[in-house]
Amino acid sequence: MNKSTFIIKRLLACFITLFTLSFVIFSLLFLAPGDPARNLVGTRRVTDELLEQIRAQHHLDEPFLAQYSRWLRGAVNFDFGRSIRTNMDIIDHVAPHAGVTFQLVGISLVFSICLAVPLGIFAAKNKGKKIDRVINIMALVGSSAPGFAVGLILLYFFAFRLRLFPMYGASGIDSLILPAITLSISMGAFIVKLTRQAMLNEISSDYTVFMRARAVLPHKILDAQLKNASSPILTSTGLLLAGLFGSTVLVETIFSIPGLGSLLTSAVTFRDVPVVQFIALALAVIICLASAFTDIIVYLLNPNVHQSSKSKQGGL
Amino acid sequence: MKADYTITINIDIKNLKVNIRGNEVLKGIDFSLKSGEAVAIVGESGSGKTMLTRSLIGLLPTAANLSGIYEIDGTSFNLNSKEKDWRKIRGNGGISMIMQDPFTALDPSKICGKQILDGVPKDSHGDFDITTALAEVGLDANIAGRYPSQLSGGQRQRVVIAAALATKPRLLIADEATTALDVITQKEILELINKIRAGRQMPIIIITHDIHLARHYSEKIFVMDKGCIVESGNTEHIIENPKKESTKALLSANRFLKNLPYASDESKAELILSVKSLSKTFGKVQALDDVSINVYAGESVGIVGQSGSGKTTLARCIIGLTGADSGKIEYFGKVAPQIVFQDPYSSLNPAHTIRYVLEEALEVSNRPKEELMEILSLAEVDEKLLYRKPSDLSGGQRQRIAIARALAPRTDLLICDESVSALDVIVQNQILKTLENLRKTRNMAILFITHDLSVLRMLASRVYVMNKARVVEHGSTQQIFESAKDEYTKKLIEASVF
Repeated sequence: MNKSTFIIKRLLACFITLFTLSFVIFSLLFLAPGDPARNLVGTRRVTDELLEQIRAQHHLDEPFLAQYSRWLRGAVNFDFGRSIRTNMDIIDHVAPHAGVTFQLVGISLVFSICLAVPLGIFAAKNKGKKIDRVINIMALVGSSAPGFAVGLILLYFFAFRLRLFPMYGASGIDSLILPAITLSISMGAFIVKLTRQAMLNEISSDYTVFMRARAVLPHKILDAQLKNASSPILTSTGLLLAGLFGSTVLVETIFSIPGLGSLLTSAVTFRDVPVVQFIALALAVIICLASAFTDIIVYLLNPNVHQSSKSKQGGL
Repeated sequence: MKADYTITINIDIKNLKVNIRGNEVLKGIDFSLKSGEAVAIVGESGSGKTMLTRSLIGLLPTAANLSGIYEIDGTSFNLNSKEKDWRKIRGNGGISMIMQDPFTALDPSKICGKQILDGVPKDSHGDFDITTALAEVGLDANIAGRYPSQLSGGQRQRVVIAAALATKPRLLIADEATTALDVITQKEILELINKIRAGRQMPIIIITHDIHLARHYSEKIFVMDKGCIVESGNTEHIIENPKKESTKALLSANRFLKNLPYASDESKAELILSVKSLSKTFGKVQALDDVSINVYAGESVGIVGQSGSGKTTLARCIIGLTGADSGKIEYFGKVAPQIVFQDPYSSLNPAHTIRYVLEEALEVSNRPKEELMEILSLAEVDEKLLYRKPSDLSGGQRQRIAIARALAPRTDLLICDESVSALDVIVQNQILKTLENLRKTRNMAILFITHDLSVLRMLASRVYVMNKARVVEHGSTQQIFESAKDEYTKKLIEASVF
């Protein structure tokens, strides 16, 4: 299998997943209890006239599959309809919120990777020593500390007591620092543990012993170990990224950040179904693409690893 | 490579003690080696052979505590040195090592040429030629651009040797360097190491559990047992006149192929398994090509061949783990055939106790739990092991558990797929005896798949020889050994008899 076929296959798989998900997401409107038209009215006062108007506007009298294909065609052309609450075009409605969330998730990702990967490597290289134990305990605390508690503590000390950061809102990068730290603590803790374990496997491997036996330069040994350890680290980080988008809802609420998370909460509260559908679909796209890209990067770093597992499947 | 340089090295180690977490694994070892010597260190697994040689280049686990006097060329060296100082002993102009397992000794994500170059000292990068280095170990220049996963076990081990030699060592340690390879490749690699040693006038330490190998390739021998050197001296002399009990035990455990009696022919007329014209391909690779074999009730049949010859695929087809493309398998026994796999470390579920594993086996084969004790005693497993988990057991003990598990359903045919090749010779012999007894007491046929001819000579009355997916020859074991017709079979027998 050459590189381009692998990439095409992986993206195709991603596309199929998204197609399936879009179906589930569209069904949300009908899975919610009650009359879909009534659901679409949201919390406004209902008149029969209004209901008729809504049914016509959303083609609710058509069969389910026809509605789904109409919605999907719209989605492909970036037309997701209008928000029920604000009557704005959904993309215009969501875009400013999405920007904030992307910044937040991006900063957290950079924070956790830049800190956690070196810490994990360092712990592995000093296995069993005091510093390894300290890092281990930190990782344990970090991965088990609930995000809302950490967020509140940070908020109290750094924003309320020390007044280093704003208490709420999204007015520039400094207002995103505390939420980003909150978000990256548990993810970072996982990456530390993961990196440490991946590196330990490489450090105790036969090829490491053989390289040491030949007095290969230490930085070359480290290079080899890092390259081989990178696959599990990257793959899991891709998966954790998905989780990051999930936990952002809570963090945005704590820090009152007008991001996707808060928008989603209010959209659910006001039963703004088209907005919920759009955010769900957008998150699905991001998560699918993130995991596809990590797989592709892992493959490009180590193309022969796939070949060898392929030949093992050969069975001899 | 160059004929004009003669290698001189003097290694002397006195009263070496190694302690790992309160366990004394080496108990005061005296060892020495001079220029040009070929030295063998022999002993059972766990006797401390590897520990001893790893102490010489500082590659013991970090938990190890060493003491003793270590002198290289008359200069003393601290055995508890830091990694930085050990680097001066290793590789360039010092000691280099060939690892046991060619499948894990190389970095999977780097092409072989770069890996060989990695160990070349900086100042000699200029005049190092990768093509010459590969030619010395009998490989084509194009191997340099390949990844380890694209090479066979033998080719990988040649790359490992080239990488070890690229550092221009003055002493080479070969730690069970051929144990993981099949007999023919084993012989080729040993001859290669011997040739290089002679050409470079380089001293070598061969670590092995195989007395034949030590006899053939070394002049001086050290016999180790339980962390001590029990006997040492001229190889031929020690093997001919062993003085210590442990040396004698090791010698008698090593089966001298020439002197072994043939397994008696006890085949009966009743056919229990018939495989007719079986073929199977995996992608482009033909794994089985028109393979036919018969097994009769209560007999012991061997299938011998190199790795990749299709033996294991055949076993998997017989027990139904793999479907064949064409051909027919007929089984006439009452209870489905059972299998004992090669690797006793991965075939038992590590989460469960032995008792659970065996009771589960009895349950799925609809046998009463009371038979637990019976299968235990048949497989000669100590009752005390019942409440342990697989990780607490030795390789031999685990393999007995795997056999006991296979006995639970009272099968008429037991398939042993390289079931003893991961174990050391003494344990191998014990397990083989157990299997032979089982065959007689339970009137159970055994299909023994192996690359080791001496195992077959002890156990099987008939043999099928497989090469490149085909059965190339079959007949009684004696007939095959004494008058093989096929070229491949002859090569196999020649490689096995030292």
